[in-house]
Parts: sequence; structure tokens; C-alpha cells
Amino acid sequence: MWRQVTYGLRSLFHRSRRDQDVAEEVEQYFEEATTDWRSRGLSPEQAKRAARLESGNLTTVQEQVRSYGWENAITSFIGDLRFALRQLWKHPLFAATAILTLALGIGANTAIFTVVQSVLLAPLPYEDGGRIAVLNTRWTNSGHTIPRVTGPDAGDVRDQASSFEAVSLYSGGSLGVQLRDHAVFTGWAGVDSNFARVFRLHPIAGRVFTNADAHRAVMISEQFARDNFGNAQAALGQTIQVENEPLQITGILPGSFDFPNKTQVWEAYPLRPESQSRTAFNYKAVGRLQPGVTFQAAQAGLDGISHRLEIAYPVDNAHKQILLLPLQQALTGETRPTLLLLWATVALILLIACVNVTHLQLVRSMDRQQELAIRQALGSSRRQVMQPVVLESLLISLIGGVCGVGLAIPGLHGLLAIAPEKLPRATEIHLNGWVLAFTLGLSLATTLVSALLPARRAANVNPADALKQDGARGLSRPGASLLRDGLVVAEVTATFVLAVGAGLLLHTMANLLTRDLGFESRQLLVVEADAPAHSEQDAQRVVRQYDELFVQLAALPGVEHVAGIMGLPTGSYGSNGYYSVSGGSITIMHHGPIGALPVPAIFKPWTSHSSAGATSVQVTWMAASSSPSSANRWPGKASATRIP
Amino acid sequence: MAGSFAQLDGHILTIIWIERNVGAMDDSNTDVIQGTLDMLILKTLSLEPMHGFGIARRVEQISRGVFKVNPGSLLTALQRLERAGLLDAEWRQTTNSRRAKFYTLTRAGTKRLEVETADWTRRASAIARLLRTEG
Repeated sequence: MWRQVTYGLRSLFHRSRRDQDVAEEVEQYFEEATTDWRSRGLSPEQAKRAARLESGNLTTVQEQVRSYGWENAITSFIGDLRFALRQLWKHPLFAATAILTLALGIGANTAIFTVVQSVLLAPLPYEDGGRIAVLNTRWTNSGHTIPRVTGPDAGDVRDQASSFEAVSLYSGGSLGVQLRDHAVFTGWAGVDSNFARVFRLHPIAGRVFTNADAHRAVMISEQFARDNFGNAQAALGQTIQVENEPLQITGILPGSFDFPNKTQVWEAYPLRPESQSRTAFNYKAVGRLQPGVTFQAAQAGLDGISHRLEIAYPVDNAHKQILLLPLQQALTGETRPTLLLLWATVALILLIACVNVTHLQLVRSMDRQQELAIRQALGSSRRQVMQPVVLESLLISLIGGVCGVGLAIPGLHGLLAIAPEKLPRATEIHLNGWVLAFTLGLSLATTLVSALLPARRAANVNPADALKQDGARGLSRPGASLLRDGLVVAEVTATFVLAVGAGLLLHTMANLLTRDLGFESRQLLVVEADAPAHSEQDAQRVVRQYDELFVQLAALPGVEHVAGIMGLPTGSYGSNGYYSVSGGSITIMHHGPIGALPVPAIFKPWTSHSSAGATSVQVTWMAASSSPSSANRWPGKASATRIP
Repeated sequence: MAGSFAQLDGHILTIIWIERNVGAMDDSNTDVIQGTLDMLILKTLSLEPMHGFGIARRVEQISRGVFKVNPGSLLTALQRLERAGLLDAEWRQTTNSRRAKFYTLTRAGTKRLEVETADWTRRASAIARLLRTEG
């Protein structure tokens, strides 16, 4: 075996030496034969003739001996490849059309697959991210699940569940951060000291904060440090203000880390959740599983805890179950169907491209019928006739694939530019080896699909019939025009069916993207505003401020109605400010002229009186929302905003 | 006596096949042909190292002209056996002081010859027995 390889390689790279070796050996053989005949008494001429008679033609023998070995297959393959390249060069229109068609199809697939791979398939960019889980709350009676937990429930999980290395509670959103000379509206999260353990964070400067630092320390991202302080070292030890609270920067996290949801500033929260209400879902929770513990095992443990809590708090925890979800699934679950649909759509487009190329190839194979017939008449095997056709197709697909990658790069930028803001892991999307391997595989599959029919036809050419025809009119047979017509019909039909399929897919996708929100969102302007308040007096002042603001806004020309809400319906905001009320949930909302508002009844009216607990309120034209931190700070008041 | 005739008939048939199927690698009978030719080459080389023509002549002489070996098939077979590690090849001076490629049996080649000889004898005697019962 080893000899096969080494001898083959040697003769492949030292072609001439091997050829010479063979030639010499054969020559020597004939010389010996001649000598042998001479020794039997023949004249030189006679001996030569006898040797030839006995052994055949010298050149033929040389050819025969030379053709032994696997490396010859490679040599002939390269020859065929060269021939195919020349053929493509000679038919530039055909080549360009086929390559461009495939490049578009492959490019679209590459771009979408890049997104699919980076978002759905690639592991999370956190150390051992596969063991990070998200805690959700689920009501077993209604099946309703929310990605949030109450402080005490999550605290109990942390204390009792043995399957976790660490459980961290956090809440976050966007808010204003005051620096010495300016303020920045940025992604912010209040996280406890377990957060760094769950994500195994290693600050690039400074240290991770501890529980003793609660409400005193903050970690910021490298990016935030660079934008506002120049560099990480300069930012360390500086003080910034969040919601009127001075916080010292103790650590700088690497720029690649922005969990949750593009957060730049992580404020230290105490391990013991400040909100102790079991009906106020003020937190999100993540946990890191112990090594070797499966998600199922951890879930079984959580089910036991949920059950105990249900018994201990029969009113607040009725039907409540803490549900575990792998972080990757929690992050990408919503995008999954959309991305897969998109993928299916571009796959269909590529199929259309393949059909088109098949058609082009069939037409071309009719052009070259004579050439193929001659090949067959000269004794080429079926495989030998099919090889050039398949090779041409392979070349087209590969060149198409390379061009496709070329198209995919700008395509991907365009795609990301129009991608919905909710697309998770968007910053991680880039071309990589997996994607290129996928494209290569795709090109090869394309070859198979588009060359199958033409190659089979090439092999079935009848030399006698084909050669009898006038070379200039390759399609003059009566059957040929029928076939050509049939091809066009099949092509149009296939393209039509595929186009309809792709269209339906796009329609489904459009439906997915533009869900019926239950209210009219056109002509609705949203203004996010946030005013920190830290005492009940503050809160009342802020509410008064907003009430005045609503009046002023309503007076603006063109404004019909003004209303406020804590977190936009279906918005990406961390807190939707909903509270569990006898099994259902409601959202706090400024009263406004409710009768005129085109919103469904689930949004209950909110009055200044009942909103006394809101420490910061978001104003909108027709919608206003409060920051998530409000309820944390005012756990008692949070329940006061419940509407009976 | 009848037995040895049957054996010879078998050889002649095979050799005719060799002549007709020169270079036809995809023939379904290739195994038999190659096997037979390989065995003859191995047997010849087990006596002493030889070059291509020497092997051809020796096969012809010993079989008293029954087997005529085509140089194309022979030299291809030699390459194949060399790559399979059954033979070693080396350019050497011949007796009439010319350079020629001499082939030597390797240890693997000797072993293969033993196996093939045993196999062939078993088959040939089976065929001979069959022919005897029919006769």
C-alpha cells in the first residue's frame, strides 16, 4: 500500500523519469528479443522482424506499460480539466451566464448560512457557555411563560438547588449614565456578584466587584471606557452616576462581552434581591450548571423546589414553575424560525438557479453532440464521455462558488444593516471556515444537481445518428425540437413552481415579522424618557412633571393624543412593567383619553394617583414607560400600583 | 494422465484470455488472468533474478512454447507486483554487458507464490476430478 502511494507520487512528480524508465525497459526488452532471434541463426533484419512479430509494436507496448498506475488517472483528469477550461473560455456567454446564475444562488445561501451558523449553530462566546442556563417562570395552568423571575423565588433556587455552580439575578435596560462632564444613554444592567462567576468574567483591568460593593461599584466595558475615558486604565477608579447614585468603576470587561443585550455598564446589586415580592417579576436570572449535571437533572431539581414553594406560598406561587432553558436557546429561540425560513427560501432560489444552469447545459450539450459522438465512436467508455460534461459543470460551480462568496460579503453587510434590532448575537456574525466549507459543499451539490441530466444525455448520444447530421445544425432531428420545446416547458414550469414556493415562504416570513400587535402603530411616535427618583417625594415630583409634560405635548400642533406606559407593548425593553393580577397580567399605563386610544382592553388605565410608586417614568407620545429599576427600589410600592 | 491434460487445457485457455484482454482493466475476468500471470512471474523469479525478456523466454521455454507472454502485459504486471511489494527492481548489467532492469522476489513475494501455488493446485485437481467423472 505504502509503495503504491510513494511510487505513484514519485512518478507523478518525476513524470519524465518514469516515462524514460519505462521506455528504456521496453526498448531493452525488444533488443534482447532481437539478440535472442539472432542467436538462433537469423540475420539482423530477420531477427528484428521476428521480434516485432512476436512482441508487437514497441510504441504500443510503451504506451500500455506507461498507462499503469493510479497517478495516470490524475494526469488524465488534469488534462480533462484543462480541456473543460478551454471549452468554457470558448463559450464565454454560456460560461458567464451559468457562473453568474450560480454565483447569485450560492452567494445568497452563503450570506444566510453565515447568519444561521453564527447565530444558531456557533457556541456562545462565553467560557463554557453550553452550561449557562436561563431561569423562566411558567404557569402550569395556563402554559404562559415569561423570561423573568421574582427575587425571592430565584433566591430560593440559589439557596436550594444543588445543580448550580452559581445563580445570578440581574435586571437591565437602557438609561442615562452621568459622567463628570456629560451624560450617556446606554445599555445598563444591575447584576449581583455571582454574575461574573456565571459568565466566568475576567476583567482586562481592575477587578470583579463583590457583594460588599453593592450599589457602590460598577464594571464597564472596554468600549465604554474607550469612548468616555480614553482607555481602560484611565477609567479605573473613576466615579459615574446612575440614577443619582455615585458608583466607582472597579473593573473593565473585555469589549466582546455585552450580555445582557448590548450592556456597557454593570452595576453591583446585592446578592439578596431587594424586591421580596413573589408576584413582582423584577429580575432575570442566569445560572451555571455544575460540571456533569444535565439540563434535565437540573430541571428535576427545580421542579422539586417549585413544588415546595407552591405549598409554602399557596397564593403567590400557585401553579408557578421555574423553568430552565439553555442560554443559547433562550437567546436565539425567537429568531430560529425566521432564520430557518430565510434559509429555506434561499435554498429554493439556489434550486431555481440549478434548474436554469441544467437548462443551459442541456442546450450546450446539444451543441457538442458531434464532439461527444466522435468520442464515443473512438471507443470512449460511458464514464469517459460523461467526464468532460461533469467537469465543465464542476468548474462552473466552483467558480460560481468563489464569486458567490465574493457576493456574500457585501450581501452580508446589507443583510445586517436591515436586520431587525432584536437579532441576537448580531455582532458575532462573520464569515468563517464553517461557512466556506458549507459553500464548497454547496458548489459540489450544485454540480451534481445541474450536471446529472446533461451528463446522462451525453452518454446516451448515438454516434451513428449524431454524425449523420449536419454539424452546423445540431438540432435538426425531428425529435430534437420536441425535446427543446419540452425543456423550455419544463424549465418554465419548474421555475414557476419554485418561484411560487419562494414567494409563499417570503409571505410567511413577512407575516412572522409583522405580527398583529392588536393596536394601530402607524402615526405613533415614541419618546423614551427617564427621570431618576429616589424618594417618595422624588417620585411624586416626577409624576407631576410628567403630567405637566403630557399636557404640553398634547398642546403641540398635530398631536392628537398623549399617553404614558411603563415599557412598550412587545417592546424589547427589559421590563414591561406587568404585574400579576389574579392570574392574569396587566401593564401600567397613563390614563390619557382612553376612549380614543386604539389599544385593546388588556392595557388597564393608570392614573397619577395609582402610579405614586413609579420612580421613573418613560414618556411617549401615546405611550410612556418606566425604567425597570423603579420597582426594585420600591418593592412595597410596586404592589400598590396593582389595580384591583 | 487425463488429469495433467485437463490442467494444461486450463492454462491454454487462460493465456488466450491474456492475449485478448490486453489493457482491459474493467473486465470481470481480470482477477483470474492477473492471478495466473502473476503466479507464472513469481514462479520464474523464484529460481533467480531476471529481466523482463528473460522471464518471457523462461515461461515460454518451460511451457515448451505453450505460453506466449505479451511484453505489454508482462511489464505492466511487473510494475504492479513491484508496487505491491512482491518484487524488487534494480538496473544491472546483463551477461552481454547491457543495462537491464532485473527483478528479484521479495520475502512477501515468496510467501505469495506459496499461497498461489497451493491455491492453483487445489483448483486444478478439482477441475481434473470433475472432468474425469464426466468422461
